[in-house]
Amino acid sequence: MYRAIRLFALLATLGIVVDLAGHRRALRADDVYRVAFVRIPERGRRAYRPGEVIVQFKEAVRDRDASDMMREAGGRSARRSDFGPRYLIQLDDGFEIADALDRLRTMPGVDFAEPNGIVRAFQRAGYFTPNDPLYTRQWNFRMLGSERMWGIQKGDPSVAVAVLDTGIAYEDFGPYRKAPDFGGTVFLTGHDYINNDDHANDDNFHGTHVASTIAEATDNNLGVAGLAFGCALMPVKVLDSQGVGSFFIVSEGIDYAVNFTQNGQHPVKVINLSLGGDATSTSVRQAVDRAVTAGVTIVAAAGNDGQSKVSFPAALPNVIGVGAIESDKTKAPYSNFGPELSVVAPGGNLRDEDIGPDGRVIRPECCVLQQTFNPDVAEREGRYDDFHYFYVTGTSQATPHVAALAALLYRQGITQPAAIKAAIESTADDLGAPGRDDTYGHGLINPVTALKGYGLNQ
Amino acid sequence: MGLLLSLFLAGALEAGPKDDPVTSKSKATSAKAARAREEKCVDRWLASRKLDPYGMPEGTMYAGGTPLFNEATGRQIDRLDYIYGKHPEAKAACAPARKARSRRTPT
Repeated sequence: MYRAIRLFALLATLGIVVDLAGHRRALRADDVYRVAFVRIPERGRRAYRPGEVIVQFKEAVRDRDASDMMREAGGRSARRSDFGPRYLIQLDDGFEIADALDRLRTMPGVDFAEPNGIVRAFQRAGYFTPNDPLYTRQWNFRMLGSERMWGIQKGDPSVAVAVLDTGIAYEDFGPYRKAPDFGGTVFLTGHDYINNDDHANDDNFHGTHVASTIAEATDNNLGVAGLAFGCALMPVKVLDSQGVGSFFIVSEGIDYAVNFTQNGQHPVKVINLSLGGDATSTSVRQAVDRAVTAGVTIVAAAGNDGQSKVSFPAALPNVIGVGAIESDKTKAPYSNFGPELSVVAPGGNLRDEDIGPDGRVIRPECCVLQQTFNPDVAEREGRYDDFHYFYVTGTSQATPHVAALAALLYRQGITQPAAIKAAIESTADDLGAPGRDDTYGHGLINPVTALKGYGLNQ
Repeated sequence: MGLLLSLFLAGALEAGPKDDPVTSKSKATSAKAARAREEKCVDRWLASRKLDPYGMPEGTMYAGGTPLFNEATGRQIDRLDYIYGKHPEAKAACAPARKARSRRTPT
């Protein structure tokens, strides 16, 4: 098992990610398209390739003696350099690099021994390219100029985004497990308003996917990236395992996030609401007003009915209502529109032709790719540990792109929600009819222009 | 005369009952009207029970803003089908002979 995991990690490191997209599985009554599957044995950025050691023997050492010494140090196999008695040793299971180096360095025939360090390309000045192997499939981030954006601002845990949703796979607790690609992500103490406790774990899949777009661990040689990966996340569970909640619970969740303090500070600056409803609510509206007065920006999904009616609370004037566009920058057919729409962001659009004959997604641009757990396994077996990378499409997926940008703008020094909203809207790339229109609002968010034009680090 | 007959026959074939634009239009109009009547009936049924447009208690919020769109598949569920699935008595009241539909949002 350990060997299989190591092999998987090695493939991921090499950018060879085994694609297990072949399964077309049921999400309750419908299908989910699994596209890739990577588990990480270690968290964080590695300096060395696991299980590998370089050793150089003195010229006088015979190959047979070199083989014996390498075997004694724990080597399973070795590759000889074309240019001298230098070997890359693959250690056997259970042998640590440090132990192998200690052994080799005491052997009289050894010239030197060292770990096999990971070499990375130098970053272009002003740009940051993460090493997450599935980042190449994140068309949605590249559409927003993510690498230039990260060159300006990556975020900081002093700024937190509260994700009011079905919870987040952020901790090991009971049957719940922390998602592997949240390795370096900072989480604040959240609250579960469905079960009334402080463990806002996800039992649906939706909240984890949304949160991953905002702050999935990035540049950790695993999976995909998060847009504001330096920022902290706060899980607040206001939707149940079916993705359903209520006005009262959502207003409670907003107040919780706004009033949360840590070291005398209010770290939550942004609230992501990839949710909504048909009617309006005084309790939610007043909670939103209290949040905005407290300096917290609310970002909400326009809704997925494909109708000329922006969902509540995205339709509120002091909320940033987000619609979805496809990879060709046209409005996604499911995305609601109307005079209350603020901006649009990538949400994709999964069509029948995006699915190959074996059930695999054959066009990554169909949807937003992030990590979450398999909802089928969760529902069928009560297990919340079957993590994969899933393609999902909707205004729920567009919204966290904007929430992430809002968080980065706070980090740039902007403090007022009205200024955040103005910065996002005024720098958006106009789409559709010239000027603001009801289909695209102010247009597609442009994080690079927004971050360059406002606050610090211009 | 022969030419005139050919033209007449061609015209008659083109304007057969299957593709009669007037008939198709009136069929579509009547289907639309029937749907509107059904929606109205269901909305009345929901309102009388203090349910939202999706058949859930008023004040319900949904992931993505609606229970009718599956973000994992891109598929949309017909609202009336969704409601009838939850409340068969609404179907009995408003559309006893209706068949279920599911579709992608038209592009």
